[in-house]
Amino acid sequence: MQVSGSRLPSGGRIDREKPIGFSFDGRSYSGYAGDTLASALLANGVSLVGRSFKYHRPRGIFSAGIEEPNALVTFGHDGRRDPNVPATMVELVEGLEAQSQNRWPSLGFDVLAVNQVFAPLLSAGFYYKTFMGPTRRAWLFYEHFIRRAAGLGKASLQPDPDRYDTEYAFTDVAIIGSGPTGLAAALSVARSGARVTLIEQDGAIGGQMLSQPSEGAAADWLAAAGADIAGFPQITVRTRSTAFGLYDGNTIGIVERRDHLGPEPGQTRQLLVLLKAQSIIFTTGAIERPLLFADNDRPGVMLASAASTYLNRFAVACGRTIVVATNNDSAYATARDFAAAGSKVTVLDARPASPLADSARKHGITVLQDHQLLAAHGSPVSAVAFRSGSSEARLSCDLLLTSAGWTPSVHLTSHLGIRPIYDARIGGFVPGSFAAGHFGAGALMGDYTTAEAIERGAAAGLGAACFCGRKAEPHAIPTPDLDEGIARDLPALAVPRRGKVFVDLQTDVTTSDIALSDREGFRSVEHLKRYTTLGMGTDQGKTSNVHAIALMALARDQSIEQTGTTTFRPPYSPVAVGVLAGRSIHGHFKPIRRTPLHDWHLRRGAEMIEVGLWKRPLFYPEHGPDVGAAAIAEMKLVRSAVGLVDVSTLGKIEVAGPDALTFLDRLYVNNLGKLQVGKGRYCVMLRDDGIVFDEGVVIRLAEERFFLTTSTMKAADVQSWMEFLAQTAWPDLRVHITSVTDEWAMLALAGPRSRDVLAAAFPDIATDDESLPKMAVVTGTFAGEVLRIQRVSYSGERAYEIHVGSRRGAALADHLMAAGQPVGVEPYGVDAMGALRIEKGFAAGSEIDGTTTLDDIGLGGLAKKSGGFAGAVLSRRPTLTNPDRRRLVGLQCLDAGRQLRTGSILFSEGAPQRGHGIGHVTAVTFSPETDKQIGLALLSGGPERIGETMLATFPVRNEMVRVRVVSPVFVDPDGARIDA
Amino acid sequence: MSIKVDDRFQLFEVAAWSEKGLEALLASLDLPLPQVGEIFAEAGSRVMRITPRLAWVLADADTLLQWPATDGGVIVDLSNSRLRLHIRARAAEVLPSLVPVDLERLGPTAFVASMMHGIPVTILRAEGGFDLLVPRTFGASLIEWIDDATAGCPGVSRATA
Repeated sequence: MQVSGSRLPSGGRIDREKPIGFSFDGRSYSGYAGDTLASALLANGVSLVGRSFKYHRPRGIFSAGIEEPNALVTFGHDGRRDPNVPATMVELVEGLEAQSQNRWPSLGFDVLAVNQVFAPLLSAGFYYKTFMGPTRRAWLFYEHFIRRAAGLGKASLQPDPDRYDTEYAFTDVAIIGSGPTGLAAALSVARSGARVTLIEQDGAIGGQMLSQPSEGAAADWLAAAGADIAGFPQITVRTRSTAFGLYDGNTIGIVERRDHLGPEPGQTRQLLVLLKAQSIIFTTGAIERPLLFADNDRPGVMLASAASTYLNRFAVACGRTIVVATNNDSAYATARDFAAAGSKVTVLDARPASPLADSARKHGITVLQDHQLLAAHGSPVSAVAFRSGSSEARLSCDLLLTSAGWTPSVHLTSHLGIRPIYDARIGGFVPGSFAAGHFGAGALMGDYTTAEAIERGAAAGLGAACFCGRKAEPHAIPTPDLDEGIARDLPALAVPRRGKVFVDLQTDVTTSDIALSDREGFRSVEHLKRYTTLGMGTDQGKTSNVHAIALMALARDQSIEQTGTTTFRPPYSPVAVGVLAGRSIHGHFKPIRRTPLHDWHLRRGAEMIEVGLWKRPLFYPEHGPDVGAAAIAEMKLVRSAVGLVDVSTLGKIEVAGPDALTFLDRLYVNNLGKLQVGKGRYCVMLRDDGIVFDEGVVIRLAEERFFLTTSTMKAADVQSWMEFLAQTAWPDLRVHITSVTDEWAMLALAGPRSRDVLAAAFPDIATDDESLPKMAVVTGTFAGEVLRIQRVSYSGERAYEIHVGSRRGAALADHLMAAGQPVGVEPYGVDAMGALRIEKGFAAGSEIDGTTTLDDIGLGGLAKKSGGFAGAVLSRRPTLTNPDRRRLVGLQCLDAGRQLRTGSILFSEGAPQRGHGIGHVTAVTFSPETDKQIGLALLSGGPERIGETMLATFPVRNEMVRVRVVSPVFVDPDGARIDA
Repeated sequence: MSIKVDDRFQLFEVAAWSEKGLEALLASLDLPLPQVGEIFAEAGSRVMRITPRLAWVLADADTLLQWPATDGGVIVDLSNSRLRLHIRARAAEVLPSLVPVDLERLGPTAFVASMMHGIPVTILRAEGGFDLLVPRTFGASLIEWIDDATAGCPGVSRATA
């Protein structure tokens, strides 16, 4: 293991009793519990951690938090590999494996670093300008190579073995950020008795206080506040939790990371928390931004506050000879910390004077006022160039820290639609006006001193508690005595004119790119963003946005307010797709719906198939070795004897009330006025645009009570449509609509011997043709439950549907099978059921496809001639009554041995086979009755083309079959069998 | 955690054209009309007010409910349509991963209609846990879904139905 001298012998918030081994690019290192991957790498003297996106320039660790643009690594391996993770956010755990990315063959020697030579060519918009020709399709050729060269880490192609989970959480007040502001707010709210959830992306609460020396006033304050927080059971602290988005209804999207717990079996690796709060306090703080100077991306260049974090929290001295370049007072604390740690520190202050300069000098720090940083030299940094007045000079160093002020983290408030407004006092954007129940405090609002932050945080807490209806009293929260420098009243942004000056380190956007974008006419900051890719990396430009806006303002000679900001959208930081999917994968991808006869089908060995959410029996292997053979056997069974099929999946709705008949008469195209109690009718409903919506049977159970069925797939939609009409179109009708799909098991007995089975099964119920004519319903009981028998056919054969309470569904099936044994009853599956309806030419879901009218599918005769119905007016539109519309026909395959396929496009024989043809095939089957492949189709001209020969082409497989257009009714056109 | 599946109960949807009508329908069974979202419970039966003009009456299988003629409304028997899942033993630790409901604020006389895995469920607080009324056809799937959720709760044993 490699150990370096960067780690201080004492101090910090690491646990030196718990060493941790890890590897980076295959080399072993060690760190301590409490380290991040970044701090451990720095402690081991690793300065080069990655290559830049476009130019493959060497990059080091730049920050200590979620804003990190450079140190993106891939950690884990195989299915657990996570690319593009900031090393600053990876908590060190035993055995952690990390690799650098975007380099080949190695980090130290990256072939694509040659891109730096061509850098002048690779300006903003390079791809758009260069790869435009010679033909329009040329991009498809170039894209392959460009994509191989571009990008950062590579995602694993193996299945992710980890578990991801979801939690729905609730609180009175959510506080995002646990710095001093958030802690003060939490204590203030908790004293009112309200529930508080404190959300912290770090592994510990404290925010910037964790970056203060681990002993002293800040540490004491944090320890006391932490103890107070722990004393309130109504405060829930969620650490390692990043609030990535704000959504409607005060819902906060949070990802909680649990990698530190290790990959134990069943252990949730990441948790998606959807937290709903009555009130939200935003204490998201601010992120330091760097100065701009030539070669500002070199390893060894770091944000000043980040260096303090590594020094004070992780006991890592990132350098011994340090230059702190700043334009504000906040970086002086860093200078003091490093001086106290024994480093030689020089402050280059761009301003002519600072109130902290004298104090700094007393700590042995060299302070050079009115000195402008020009460039970094060496990789890693070994010197800086600066200007004082008209002269330029160099200074040796091994660490260059910079600070150009702080940028409030307005991302989450922006998700709520709160437009950021520019605050010239701090040189950054702060949230505009909050809605009721939302509060902001601390650095987010420009309250940069700890005392201000605590005071405003406590005030926000009181406001939130009151909003939640709690009685809240102000309580004094002590403030630590810290010698702080504040980043306010900043000088104008200075931009060197020489060298490569990076604005967005992650996407390699330079000051030149922004200037070029302006010269090429991109006037909006949103256009600038898209043209240059500024702010479009995984860090979302957290350290670059304000600089880019300032540069654009400079180029356009306008104010920053006039320039405005880009739009911040969720997620605030990258979210793994796995955690969004949660447990809804594999067998739990969607819920499964089982009919009351599900186990009954399984006991009979049925091969099940998914139909929407339902599982249905496709066929029963006892009838054939495969679906084709079994389905043919099952069809023959129904045509010659009797079969039993589970139709429980049909949507079932009860409609009741004094105006139920009026309601249904308006809903369906049919005239239901004369429907008698105990009778049913096949009915069709339209959408309001005149297109057929669904079909089913309506049964009148009593004067004011109706039972209707819908197709399996449209059940929920039909119910919604009915509720919509009842509540909005006809609210005066007294009608109640209830889904009873789950209430009833439904079985269909079909075939010429079906009545024999019925008579044997229910000898006490009159089922002769006089007592039970077509579409009639009789009732009885079965095992103490209500039983209904309706004579209705979906196959063209004599058939009955038997309804019973779901609890008795399987028992009813057993009973019918036993009663039907003498006549050879057998169950049949949905494949045979669908084929039987094709033979009979009944329109179903594949014909009622959201484009067809009543006339298209041959049901125009059902529509009542007088009185309106939903969709009637628009069904008379010229486009829906055009005689050239595609209408239902039958097809007979003429080429023996060739497969006619659903979806085939129809062309007239001899016509050019281009475009969408003149029709398409909606359903096909082999018909045992005709001993041919047959199909249904929607064909322009419809029945007028009967007798013509067409070509059915299936371009996906390059197949073509000759077919003859015939009547869609292949079986029993006279309808005699239904009475057989 | 344990799940006990109960499908021996009666469930009726009672709807009327006015609140007074609903009150009258329930009064005919000597049942009061609770507030929306609230439950009235007495031996063998519970009234759950779903909306101002709609209630469910949940009764034990052997409770005799003599419904009157329903001129003022509609009564629909839904006894077959739901399964009742009795979820006990550390249910409060598992349910937050399943339903977007603030269970802490679900009082003993309250119920809530919510969604679990995209399926409508009704949740009632019960002694030692919660009762869920779930659509019968999704029952098995939801039990598997709940069981899988227990795996993400450290120290909670797998649900057994």
